[in-house]
Amino acid sequence: MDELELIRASQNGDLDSFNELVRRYQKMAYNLAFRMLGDSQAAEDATQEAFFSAWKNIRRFRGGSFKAWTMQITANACRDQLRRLKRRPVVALESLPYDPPSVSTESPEDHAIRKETGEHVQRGLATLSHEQRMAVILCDIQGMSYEEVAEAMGCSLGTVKSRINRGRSHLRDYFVRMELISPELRHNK
Amino acid sequence: MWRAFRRSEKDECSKARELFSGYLDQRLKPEEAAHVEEHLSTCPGCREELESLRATVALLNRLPEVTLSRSFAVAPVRPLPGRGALSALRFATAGVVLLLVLAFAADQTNVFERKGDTGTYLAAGTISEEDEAYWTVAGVKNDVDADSQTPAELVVPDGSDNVVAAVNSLATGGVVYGTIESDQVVLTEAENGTSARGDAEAFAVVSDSSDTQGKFAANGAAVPSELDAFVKSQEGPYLNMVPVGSDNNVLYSFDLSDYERVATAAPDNDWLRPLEYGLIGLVGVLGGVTAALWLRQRRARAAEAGTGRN
Repeated sequence: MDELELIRASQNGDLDSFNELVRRYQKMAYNLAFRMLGDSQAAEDATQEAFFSAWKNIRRFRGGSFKAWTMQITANACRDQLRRLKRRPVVALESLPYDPPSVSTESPEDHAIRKETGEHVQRGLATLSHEQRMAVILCDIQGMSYEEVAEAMGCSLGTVKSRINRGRSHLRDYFVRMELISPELRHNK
Repeated sequence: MWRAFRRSEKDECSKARELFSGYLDQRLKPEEAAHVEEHLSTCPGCREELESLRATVALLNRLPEVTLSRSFAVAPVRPLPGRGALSALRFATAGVVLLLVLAFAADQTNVFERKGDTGTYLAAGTISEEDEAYWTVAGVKNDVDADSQTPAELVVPDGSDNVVAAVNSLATGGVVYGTIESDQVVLTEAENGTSARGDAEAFAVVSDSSDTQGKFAANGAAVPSELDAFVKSQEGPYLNMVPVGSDNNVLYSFDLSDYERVATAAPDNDWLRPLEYGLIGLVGVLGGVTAALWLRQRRARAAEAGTGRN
């Protein structure tokens, strides 16, 4: 079934159609949540909350990018989780330790994931402010366009460009420090 | 000069670097892209900066996706008991609030006041038992030989355009105004001013004109506009005293304890106040029940969502 038909059916109360949409977007939503929160349990809670909220509010979707709409709801759920977990939503680069707080509460599953390349990237992401982190995840990890990112974050295109640029720049500095990127590419201050 | 040159060089680099992400993503306008390329051709530092940024993005692009261990499909939620009741309660509460607003409005605008017989008294809707708005007051004209004094009467007019009822402050359609001070009504002549309402005759006394009752006499020349404004700004209704004669510079005082309060038309909205209180109580009860039911449904829904994994 094509996406528009699934959306229409969902808006008419067809839960099966909605759950088909969930199947199509849940991996993206969970990845966003995981990269934002750095913790698999918190990411699961945020993702479940996001899809429940999407189902409740499906009639409010008026067209445009359903992907961006879903990511927006997921982003909001992530913000709620951050508040709930009492993590600081905005993290200044200079004040954050390189080990994110979630390390001490890692499950074996989280540990396995961290063995991947993503380990350092995750740490790097944690050094960004909440908004920069989200912009970089949506653009460079989820592959969304600037416009979709703006829609998902509820901000202007100009703001998105600025957040992506600064987020990447901070990440680059971190990767250079961690030698994930070649030292001769360290930029001159 | 060298320092200034270096500073401007740094500015150029900063400006270019702000565009690097857009440049990498091919989101720049042609002239912006050209500007960046021109700068890159002369600045090795920025070339390195761009390449490291490119490497960063490539690293992010290569990041493997995290595997899902479960589905996030939404489970069907049973229609919660009392859902219909919640809607009905919300409507009921809204309806009662609307009634309350209307009752307050009617109260404030004295919609239900009733006029008395012509030539007698205008009811004031908001006046309490003690402050009946219409009364006849025997006044004694000062500076006049007691034997020849004519009892003056403050009359509440019958509701024609220029007059209103009175309680706490007295005001004049002529040139005297005053206030109630304890049991005395003290009237003072005001200054003459331009008429706000036309001829003195327009303020004709509208009360009963029997011989036993004198009319309150005052200089009927004019109503100063500021006095008019003052009168209208007073709280509560007020007596508009109508000039008849042309006594000047006379102070009148009235002993309120000696007169008779005549109530020929009772305020007709005594029932409004109890209604308002009743509605307030009803809003409280309905609102409380609605809120409790809504909270209960919300908790039940959250519990359903938590167990909705499959």
